Amino acid sequence: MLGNRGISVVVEASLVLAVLIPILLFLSLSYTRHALYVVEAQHVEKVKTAFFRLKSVIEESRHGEKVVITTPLGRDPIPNVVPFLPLLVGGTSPGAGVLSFDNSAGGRVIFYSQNSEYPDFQLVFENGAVIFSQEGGGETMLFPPVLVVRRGENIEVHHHTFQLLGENFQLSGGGEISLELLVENIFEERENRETLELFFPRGQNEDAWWEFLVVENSWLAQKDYFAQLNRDVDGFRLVIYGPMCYIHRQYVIKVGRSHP
Amino acid sequence: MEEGVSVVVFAVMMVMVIFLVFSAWYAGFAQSSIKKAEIEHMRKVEEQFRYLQSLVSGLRENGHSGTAEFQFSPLPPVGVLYTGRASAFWAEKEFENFPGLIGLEIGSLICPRVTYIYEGGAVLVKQGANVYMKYEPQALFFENGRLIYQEVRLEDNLSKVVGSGRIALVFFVENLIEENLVDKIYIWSRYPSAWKKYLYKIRDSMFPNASLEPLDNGWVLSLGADSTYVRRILCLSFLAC
Repeated sequence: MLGNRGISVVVEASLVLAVLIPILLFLSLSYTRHALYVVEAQHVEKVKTAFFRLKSVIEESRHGEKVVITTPLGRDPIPNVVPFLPLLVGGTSPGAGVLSFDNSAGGRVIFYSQNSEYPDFQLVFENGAVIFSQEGGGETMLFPPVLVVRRGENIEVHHHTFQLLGENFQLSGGGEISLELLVENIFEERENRETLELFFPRGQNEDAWWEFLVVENSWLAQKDYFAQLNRDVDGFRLVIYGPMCYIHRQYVIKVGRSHP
Repeated sequence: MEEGVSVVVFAVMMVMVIFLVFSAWYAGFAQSSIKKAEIEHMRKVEEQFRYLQSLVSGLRENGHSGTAEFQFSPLPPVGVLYTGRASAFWAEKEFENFPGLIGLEIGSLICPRVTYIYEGGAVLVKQGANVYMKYEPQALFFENGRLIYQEVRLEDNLSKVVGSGRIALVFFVENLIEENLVDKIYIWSRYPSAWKKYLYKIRDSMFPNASLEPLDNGWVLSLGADSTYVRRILCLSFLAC
């Protein structure tokens, strides 16, 4: 038989639990949501850095050189700040991402991340540029390709293009993935010209390329070079007026994959 | 009735104690998480300036190019409502003879404000009024028996960009000028005091008989009337994206 004292202790314990459990649940859910935002933001930055490394390593590579780039596929798990909180919301599994290689149209390395809180994003390395796009947020050129003009006796236009070869693949999951890049060839051609027309065909990331060309065109105007940018049905044309020496360097790179 | 009231009071007090302990723990946790993220970002920025230094030292011919990126803000720490403080990035070339500089002033909440500066091939760190050289340039060296003074000069300006994202710069060699000169080597700088230790070290190890004098905006190293050297100017342009 419980006396008055016993009943009051049970009521007291129930009251404490009745207050604590909703508070803990609320904190736990808020924390999980907030942590997902943060971990996803960190993941975006890590993948951007990996793609920057991909671009810069390729630019600096020499004929026959082999380089390995590692990129995180999925986001990290949510850290256990308070050990028991994740138990209340069902664990903190890591996120997943997809890395694929498409060998059509000069080759593209594509990273696709499925997010819970932020809109999904995609990073593409194509033709020496890294393009970032997000669902509903358009696309932007994160790291531009090398297309520079300098004054010599005449002007010199340096343009680097990249052809990526290899078998198509698509890998998804968490953890990290390593890409192997082998520079099979580097061709350089020099040609004297009166005018140069650089053609950029419309493609999946045409808005980012257009945005880049607008910036490039205004930079050329600011430096007193004569250039003209046209937007046609089939693509974009950047015409640079000379006389000039056009120095075109094309990298031929074989892309492979390996799990660390 | 009295028993019931005491139970409620006890429950409320228990919750208050728990909240008090949690608040004290959380304040410390938030502080240390933000500090850790800011220190990590500072390390990252230093790495990016070091990369810029090695990138530029590898640009040796007209038209050579390379890309550098700079991250403005730390990765947000988990478990903390962190708004951060904006950082400022700029590139400037004030006068004709000056090498110009690239600066990133890190906006920190807890750590002191630090500015990383790339000037004339060196990486400088500015904190308050103090500026010191973090990574030395390869400004003076011998090549095939010739003394070379290599100057890195920026040809473009970039007005201050303030924010929390990142910026990429495609650098390329606009021009490579070499001229044969005699006696005095002028080393121009916006922060001459930061170059003092490095230049004295160079003078003591390479030219013990030379004199080193400070100027308002730099230093002059007098080698002697018979001494010749090559002044190599690497003119760098960049495109920001």
